[in-house]
Amino acid sequence: MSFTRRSILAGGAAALVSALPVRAERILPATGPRVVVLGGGWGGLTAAKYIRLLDPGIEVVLIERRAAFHSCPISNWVIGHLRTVDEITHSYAALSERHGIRILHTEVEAVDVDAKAIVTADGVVAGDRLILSPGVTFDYTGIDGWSEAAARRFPAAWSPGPETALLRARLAELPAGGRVALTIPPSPYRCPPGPYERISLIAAYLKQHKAGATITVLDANQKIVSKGKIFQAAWDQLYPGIVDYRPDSPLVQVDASTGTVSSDFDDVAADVANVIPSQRASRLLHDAGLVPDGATWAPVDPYGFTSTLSSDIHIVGDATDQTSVGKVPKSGYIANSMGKVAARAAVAALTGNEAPPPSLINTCYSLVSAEEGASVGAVYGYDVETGLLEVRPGSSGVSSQRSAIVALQAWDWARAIWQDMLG
Amino acid sequence: MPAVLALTLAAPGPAVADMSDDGARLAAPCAGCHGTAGRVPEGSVIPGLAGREAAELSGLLAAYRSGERPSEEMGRIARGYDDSEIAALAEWFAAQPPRNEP
Ligand SMILES: Cc1cc2nc3c(=O)[nH]c(=O)nc-3n(C[C@H](O)[C@H](O)[C@H](O)COP(=O)(O)OP(=O)(O)OC[C@H]3O[C@@H](n4cnc5c(N)ncnc54)[C@H](O)[C@@H]3O)c2cc1C
Repeated sequence: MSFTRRSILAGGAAALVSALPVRAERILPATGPRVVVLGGGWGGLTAAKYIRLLDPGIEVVLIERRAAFHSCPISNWVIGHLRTVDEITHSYAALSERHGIRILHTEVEAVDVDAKAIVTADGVVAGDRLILSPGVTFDYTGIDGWSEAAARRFPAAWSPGPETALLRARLAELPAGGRVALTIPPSPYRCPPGPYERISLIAAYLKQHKAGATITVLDANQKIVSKGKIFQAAWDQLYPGIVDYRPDSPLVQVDASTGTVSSDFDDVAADVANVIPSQRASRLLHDAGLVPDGATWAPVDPYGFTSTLSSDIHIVGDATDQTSVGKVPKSGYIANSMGKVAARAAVAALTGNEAPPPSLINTCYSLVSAEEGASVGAVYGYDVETGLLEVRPGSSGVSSQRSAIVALQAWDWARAIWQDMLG
Repeated sequence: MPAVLALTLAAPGPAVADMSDDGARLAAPCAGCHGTAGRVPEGSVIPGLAGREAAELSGLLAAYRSGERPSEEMGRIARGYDDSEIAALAEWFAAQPPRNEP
């Protein structure tokens, strides 16, 4: 299933090939054992850095389109005007300067599974093993009226990039008494509590700065997906009359000219609307045959996060299929934990050793207001019987109520884990 | 980008990740909150773990696990580990230098 054979000849990437001259020549020849990492986000950064910490004899090339790291965690705080874009934007420099990681900032066009190579706009980079953490691709199929104009009118702000600042700016321009709409896709999507944190922080902003303004939520899910009691209590107690939450209301139609988002039951005309779309594994993984036909996510063996379809290729982060991994959420913390497990497995494979069993943690902190938050988390071990990551008994739980200490911990969590990936 | 500087202050030494050390393997995901090798950023409300006495750390984990010591997160996290894992974690963090050599 190589890029040349399948995509170019079969025309799968024909549009892309004609639009962007992909250079097929090999670049950056390896001088020793090498791992090529795709994606300078949560999973990829962690894997890249921990390989170098485990074995500096292994060369690591990291390929990422963005010149600086942009954090999705804390981006809701930016949208709610509690933090700035600068505070969630960090340099990649220490990874090359301190850890000797070679970083290539370019667009990845394809993954060549047979050649264990990443095909980029600047040429092809091959390695002995690949670690892929490309995140998610948005899926707008099934939404009537979706268009380029709709994409501009209804930004997602759900992946690293400029839409965070855009949504923040639009909220600032909202007239007093204005209406915000937000739509939530069916689970699984990245960051289960993320939409509800965003609703809370938008509501807090409206309460403080936009008298009479409201936020209407169309949620495709039957109920609040994560920390339901805590979010509902916060909306009732802190933002009465501001949050209008409608469960079981999948988005079916949009009208960019009027700013209207519709479920089967309601049309919501809004001054500012945020459509969080359905998600699936990055299209790079679909195109490379690393997601079975008809499936949405990439299946892996969670012992070392190798693809079940190619044993020299590791896949980590949000792109992985939870039915193959175990009941882990699509979170940055889990992507970071997965990156460490994949790093050990890759180093073990390259040095002829056996990889140790995985041990992972997740903790997701969410704010419900500028001052208070709640957390959810668990510890995961590998179960030889099921071949899955299982929650260690008793280790899974949610805060019983919102508290000020968790809001402080949330920021210090972000600082610590950013440093763990980038410092 | 003022945060960039802060991110590069504490560099982990080579012992941060050791293939053969079970403590290192178990401790790796603790870094999410407690910082790489248990070294937290300046001013964190989450405590650092590097270089603290192993007996103190294992005692704290046991007290969180039993609920004797109340907490937001650490009760459930501590219940994820058995006695020998708690001992391995405590010994590993105790052996980490609390600050990096410049
Ligand atoms: C609003 C929001 C809030 C969140 N809050 C939290 C939180 O509080 N805690 C938490 O744990 N998680 C949180 N998350 C989830 C977290 O952001 C994701 O789980 C995490 O980013 C997944 O990591 P990843 O490596 O799979 O993907 P990403 O972090 O998205 O990394 C993928 C990287 O690959 C790069 N890339 C992709 N395709 C290409 C290409 N073709 N060429 C070049 N580069 C490419 C991208 O630029 C990106 O840098 C939140 C998410 C959102 C949207």
